Amino acid sequence: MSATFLAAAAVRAASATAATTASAISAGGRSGGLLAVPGFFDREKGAPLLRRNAGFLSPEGLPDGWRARLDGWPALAGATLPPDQADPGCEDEAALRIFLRDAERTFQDEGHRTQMIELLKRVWPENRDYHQGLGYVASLLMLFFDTETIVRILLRLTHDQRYTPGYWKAAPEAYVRDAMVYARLVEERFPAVATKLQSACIVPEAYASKWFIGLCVHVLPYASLLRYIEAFLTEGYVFLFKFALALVETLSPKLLALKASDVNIMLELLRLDTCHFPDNEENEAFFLRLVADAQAVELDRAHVDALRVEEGEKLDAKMKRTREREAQLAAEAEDDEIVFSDEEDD
Amino acid sequence: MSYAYLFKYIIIGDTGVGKSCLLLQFTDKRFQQVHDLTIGVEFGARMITIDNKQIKLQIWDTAGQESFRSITRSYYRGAAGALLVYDITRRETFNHLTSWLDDARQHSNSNMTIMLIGNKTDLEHRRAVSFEEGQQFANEHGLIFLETSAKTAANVEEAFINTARRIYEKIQQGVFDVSNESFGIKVGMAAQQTGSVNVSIQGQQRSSSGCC
Repeated sequence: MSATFLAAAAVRAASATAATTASAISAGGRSGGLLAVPGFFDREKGAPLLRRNAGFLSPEGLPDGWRARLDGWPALAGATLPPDQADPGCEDEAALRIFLRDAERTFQDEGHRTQMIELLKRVWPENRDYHQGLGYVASLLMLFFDTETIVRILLRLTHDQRYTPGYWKAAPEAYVRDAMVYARLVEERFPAVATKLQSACIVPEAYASKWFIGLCVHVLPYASLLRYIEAFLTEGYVFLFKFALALVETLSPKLLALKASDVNIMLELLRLDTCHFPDNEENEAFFLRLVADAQAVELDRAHVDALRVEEGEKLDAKMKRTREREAQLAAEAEDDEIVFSDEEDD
Repeated sequence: MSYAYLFKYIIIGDTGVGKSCLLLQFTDKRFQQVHDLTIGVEFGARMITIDNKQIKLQIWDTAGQESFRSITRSYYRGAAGALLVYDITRRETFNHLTSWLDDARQHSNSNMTIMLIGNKTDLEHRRAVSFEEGQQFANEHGLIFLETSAKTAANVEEAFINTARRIYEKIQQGVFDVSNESFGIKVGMAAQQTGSVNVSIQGQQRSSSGCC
């Protein structure tokens, strides 16, 4: 896809500046987004999306310097061109149902829910598929940007090899491969933790989605969440692994102290649940340090890429076996059906 | 706290039917009016008492959209009980039960106890699936059936505890080889001390190295 995509993008580059200006004006400027809407905090009181706001966003606006930082995000993501979308929209009924359910569990305000659904419909054609983690990321961006800018950023994330193509699918094999890569890295660096997690029967793909696909929305409080996403936009997918390693290292004394049957506590720790890490001043410093530690983790991209190849092959083999097994079960089920002898042959 | 048995459960069903809310009501006795959606898995645990024995329930709550079978299936395999949940106000969640059930049956051990749950009875005015239809589906497929409300807590205790009781009965009947953890049952120290179940310590150790 990338060749056609880039070619098409290049053709459109000439008119890009004009289009950028036009869409920015129509959406109320670069500093658009729901935060700028009057009464936003009244309308969204108690919204799940703001559960870990921890006082970062307020009716007075963003903390000092953050508007300028956020305005830099589209450029960090390379999302400066208008999206090249042949057929934006979604008519898949199952997807539309899930968009509605997810919007209801993100925003309180009916209008904001509708906006979120419209946004998800715009992104749908890129994968003709959906993962609920995309709902997390899309809704977070809605707070800060106008729809056009968000679509551009999201499309870069799902097209650019530097980010996470293949993640926003109901069955995201690219993500499962990366979760397996993460588990390999933990084995290499923190073997005792790896053994502990294995003894609890937790497969990595079951929980790493919160950091990898959901980009830590609902995991980190906002002050560190925005730094996490900014680092991801800057460094690409390697940062996701760096963060996971920093997190495991930080949690390792707590994890190692647990019994194999304390699975619930392990998962609570790994998602930085408020029952262990309530949003208070002490923890705010802890979270900020965690993201800073993640940025400082030394991790060679070439090593990650080599592990991606190895784990990708393992996953392919596993998926092949699964499909064969399914075909076999389907064939057996068909054999059980009554076949009428008077059915005509072609 | 020591337990006589540990049972593993899995909660499955379409997205938005209230799986996480049922779990929260059972483990924390509270309801979150607005609950964020689940990606990946969540997990809850609670101790219950059946027949004067302490039983620890380990409950895996899966994302309803998580159709990636390599994730959910690895949990089916290690589960003794499953709560299959639909939303009585949304017919499509009832229509999808067959595919959830097929998947659970294909990938679990054959003795997994499945409880069918019609959730959200607090929204009676919006009911789209009758009690009788739920009961009939359960009868046809050999499931236990209850209607619940995670919001008012109606029947939530019963849903989890009745499932546990059924599993416990199966153990008493000798249906399971309880030393084999792939059935989602683990014998705790409390049971071994009272000698109520004849499991060798060696058998325990051997099986505990093998994971679901």
